[in-house]
Amino acid sequence: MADRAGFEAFYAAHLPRVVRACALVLLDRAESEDVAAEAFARLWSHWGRIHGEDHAGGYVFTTAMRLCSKRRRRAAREVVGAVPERGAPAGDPTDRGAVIDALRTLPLRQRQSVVLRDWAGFPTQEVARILGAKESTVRVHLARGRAALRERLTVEEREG
Amino acid sequence: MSDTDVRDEPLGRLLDRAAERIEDAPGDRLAEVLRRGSRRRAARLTATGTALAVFAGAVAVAGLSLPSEDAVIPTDVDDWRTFASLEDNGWTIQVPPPWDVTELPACRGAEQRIGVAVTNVSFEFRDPQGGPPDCYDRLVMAGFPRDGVVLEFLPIVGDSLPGLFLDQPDTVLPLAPELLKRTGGIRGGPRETFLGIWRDGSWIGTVRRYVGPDATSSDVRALDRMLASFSVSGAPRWVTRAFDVSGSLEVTVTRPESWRAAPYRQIVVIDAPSPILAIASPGVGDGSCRPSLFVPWIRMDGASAQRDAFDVAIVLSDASGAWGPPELPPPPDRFRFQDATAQREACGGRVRSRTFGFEDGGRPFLLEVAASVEVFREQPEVLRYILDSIEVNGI
Repeated sequence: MADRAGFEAFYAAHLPRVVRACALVLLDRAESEDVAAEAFARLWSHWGRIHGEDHAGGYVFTTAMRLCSKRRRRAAREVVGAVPERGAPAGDPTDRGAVIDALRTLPLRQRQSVVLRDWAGFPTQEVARILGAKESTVRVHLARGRAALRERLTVEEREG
Repeated sequence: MSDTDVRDEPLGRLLDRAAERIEDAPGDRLAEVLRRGSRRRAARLTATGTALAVFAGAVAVAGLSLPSEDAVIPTDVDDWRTFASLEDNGWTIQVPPPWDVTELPACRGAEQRIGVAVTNVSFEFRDPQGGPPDCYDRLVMAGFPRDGVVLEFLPIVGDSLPGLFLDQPDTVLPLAPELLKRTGGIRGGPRETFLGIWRDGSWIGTVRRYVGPDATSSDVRALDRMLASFSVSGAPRWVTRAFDVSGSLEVTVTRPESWRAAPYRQIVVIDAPSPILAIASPGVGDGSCRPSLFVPWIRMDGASAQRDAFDVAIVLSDASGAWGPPELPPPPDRFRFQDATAQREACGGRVRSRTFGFEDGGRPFLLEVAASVEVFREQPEVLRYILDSIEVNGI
């Protein structure tokens, strides 16, 4: 019998972060909760074989991002009834709506790369593993995504 | 981490603020998560079996629960009204309580006696002559509200049209909107998609889905949940199963339960892609020419050729051992036949094979798909649906 108490503790601790990451990628709260629930369900189905919070965290983020990708491409195929994408005028970067609108203009891979690296804080190497892509590819997505967001949000670049 | 791998802090703070819009307490779905996870684990460990609904009793339209005046659509489909044609081989559907149901008469001789049209708006369906709906007639959609949606199932007497259609595999349930075929639509009216429903080699009816240009996304979601609830007794179901193809690799695929799927065991091909998983349809064509891919369950002596026949075969190979594998792209958003990296034809073009290459998690894979185009001319979306469902995950 898998360690249910351990899973429940992990679920409680990490669910909000996974839901938020999915919401920043999907830009839809209900969908992000669905995706997070499915990702944790898959994690539970493997719980006996997964050891350590890092492994579990990586697994659940990887699964969630894959599910986000699937949702988005399915939504793209479902033209009928799709909620039209809002336009994304440049706006006050302190306005949360402007950030959401700016994110909406990014291609999915760029959005995922930026959210995982700059919001979730994963190293680029880990982002690449989560997205099943090469690190060099993720760096390109990151650079393009950040540049597009800066342009829209007029974020002042900070010297690193 | 390299020194260039720096988090963009200002951007991170902006994203933080955007994320703050999402309240801290997502809905409590732990019980659902545990249930679904346990189900997945059980599905991995046991042979897939799906209980099929058994219909009994007299022919009747059966509103098994009373219509509700409540205009709110319950979240749980089990709380919706059930409508059915209760022959031994009948259909059933879950209907949002506030929505209108119109009974459609099936043609004499059809396997089911009635069809149904369900809509979120009040609308009187007519046949082209202005009378009430009749068998075989398309519904007249002129004047249909722009925010309306409709799901229609009309039984048909498929056997009355011998030779008109090539045999098709049984329709797999649940239906999904992307599995339906598009029509040219109705100018200024609702967009229409449809799918012929096949069972035991016969065309038994057609499902049509209409979406008005101003339909709300919540109504479209309810429509598609209703579409997914459509059931015909004896129809195969979609099943999702994860295959452990090595100690560190798991491939998840969603396929019709009537299709076979199995990992290859201990096949390592030196300097060439090693097959790791095969998925194949049952054979419904005339068998004169079939895909010639090697699948794990084929008996080498050919003694059970009929049982082992298939019309479509999909083989996933791990190309990491191949000599000089080319630079491959990440998995595509969608497998499109025109994007194949290689293609072959056999039997005068009646069997076509396409090969796709992709890299996932730094590992190269090849996916070869061979299909009898005669059998799948009517249902190409089924094949695409299976391909798009394939996920390779490291454990």
